[in-house]
Amino acid sequence: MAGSDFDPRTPEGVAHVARLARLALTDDEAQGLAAHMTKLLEAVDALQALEPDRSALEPSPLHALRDDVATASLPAGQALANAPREADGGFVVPAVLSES
Amino acid sequence: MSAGWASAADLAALVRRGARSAEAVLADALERIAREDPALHAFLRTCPERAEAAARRVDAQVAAGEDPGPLAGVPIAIKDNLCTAGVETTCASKLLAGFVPPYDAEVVRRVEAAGALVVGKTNLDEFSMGSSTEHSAWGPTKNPWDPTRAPGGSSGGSAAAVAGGLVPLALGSDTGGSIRQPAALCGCVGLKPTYGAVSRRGLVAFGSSLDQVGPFARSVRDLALVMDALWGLDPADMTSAQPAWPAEAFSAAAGGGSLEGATLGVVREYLELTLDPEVRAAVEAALERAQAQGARVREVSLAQTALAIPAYQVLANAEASTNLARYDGVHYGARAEGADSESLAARTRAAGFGPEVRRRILLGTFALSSGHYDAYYLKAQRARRVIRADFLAALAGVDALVGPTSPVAAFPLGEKVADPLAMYALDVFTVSTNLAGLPALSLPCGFTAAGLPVGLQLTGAPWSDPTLVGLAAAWERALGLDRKPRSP
Repeated sequence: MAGSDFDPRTPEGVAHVARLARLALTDDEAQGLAAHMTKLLEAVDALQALEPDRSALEPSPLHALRDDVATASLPAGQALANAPREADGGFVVPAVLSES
Repeated sequence: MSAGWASAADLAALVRRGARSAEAVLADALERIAREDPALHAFLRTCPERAEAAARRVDAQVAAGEDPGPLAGVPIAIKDNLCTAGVETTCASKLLAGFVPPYDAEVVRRVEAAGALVVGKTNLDEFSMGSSTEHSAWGPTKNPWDPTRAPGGSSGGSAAAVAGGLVPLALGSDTGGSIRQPAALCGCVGLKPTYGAVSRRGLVAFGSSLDQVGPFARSVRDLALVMDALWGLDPADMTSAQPAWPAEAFSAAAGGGSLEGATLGVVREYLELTLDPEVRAAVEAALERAQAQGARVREVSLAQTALAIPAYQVLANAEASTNLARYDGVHYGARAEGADSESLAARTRAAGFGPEVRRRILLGTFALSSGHYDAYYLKAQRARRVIRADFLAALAGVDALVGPTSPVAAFPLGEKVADPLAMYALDVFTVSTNLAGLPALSLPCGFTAAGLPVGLQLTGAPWSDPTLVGLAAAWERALGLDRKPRSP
């Protein structure tokens, strides 16, 4: 399924969103979540009366940001202390390149 | 005097003048938690070694003639989504089991610097997603007023620990009502400060533009004491602000607040919503009491009330789907192996997140997805602007908006957990203040016939937090409720 051509109220649509969200789902779970999404999208339907307005994305005085100032980051040893797998001072991940 | 039922102000006064040691206060609190908490499950874990070290520091300061601070020797419980260096922090999620933060949340640092003793970490709905504390991976917390009922949520453990007399103070977080609703259902006082007034550094993020840390206490005076330690600029939180409040603004407000001459706004649209008749009656009686004290009550309108829960659902969960993307099985927390990074993350997250968190991540990811962003995320942001403007207009002619915190009192465990939409509807009076970034406080105002507490919510203009505390202190005095669920 490509791009925006999906309906989250169907198990197939849920499976697509779950892939975007990096969530593994069983078929039964996708079925149940499709029913939930159907009810939930009905519950948020009141939003559809509003016009989309990009000015709503402008920073609000509510969330005033401080200046971006560089500070010291966590030492590597501390950053790695909670890693499920680490080696040679780094986080271990599955291979991203295969040998050919 | 037991540390559990004593006020924070009285305990700190005893410790500061050397009449009682912090170590003795702590021993009493830990003994009480060990005895009472198995029936409540307010705590996920205690941290006696950390608390004992803090108590020894306080006692040494007193012995040296130094002032250990306004919270000297006061036991405090911390919601388990606030980082504590060296003490496991799980957000009540299997995914974070075993996670030991390398640093303290700024609010934890501040209360310890004021002399408080961090005794343990409290239960919550997983990643703060819920209104009953039943979505905890470690099982629900019970309401101290009736253990067959929920304490509310998501900060239900903190509310139950305070209301049940285990500790005088606790910290929680509030993204859509997670401090105020459990405070209402457990019969204690809870404040969500103005967005930016209290640091979010070390608060595990749910909806970053909505999250605020705040306190629970059994009296407005104690709430003020801990707020005076919490507020103020923290450069490590990029949306932190320095409010133009004098030092000890909250304690001063709690000591001097008055209802005489205050103008209180009652929201017309809220009166039209479905509300438990006993909750309505308790709130109306509290308003009559305020009028007898010289307050004026007038009706105001929040015409966009129907947009609040839809906008909140979309925005909070969109932000959650982004914030929770960090749990990928690589950097910290649980890991389920996979052949590639994508399957590793997908399997880790499926195994680690509970069903409510997964539902919310799905909605949030959908609302941000290509082709649906304008119809959901953008419109919800538009709704947020409209809601804030609505509130600012309604607040222009009043000192505070007043009404119920929750449409119902504490409900039976298991009653709503299977129906997510019924659970979301409980947040009808609380989510809009997070969307608008406003301060709001829940104060116990009466009881149902079954003896369950009812909470009154006071909502103010941005940065009017001390004014709300002053009004609440005066109202608390006028109501004169006995708020202990059982004999100490």
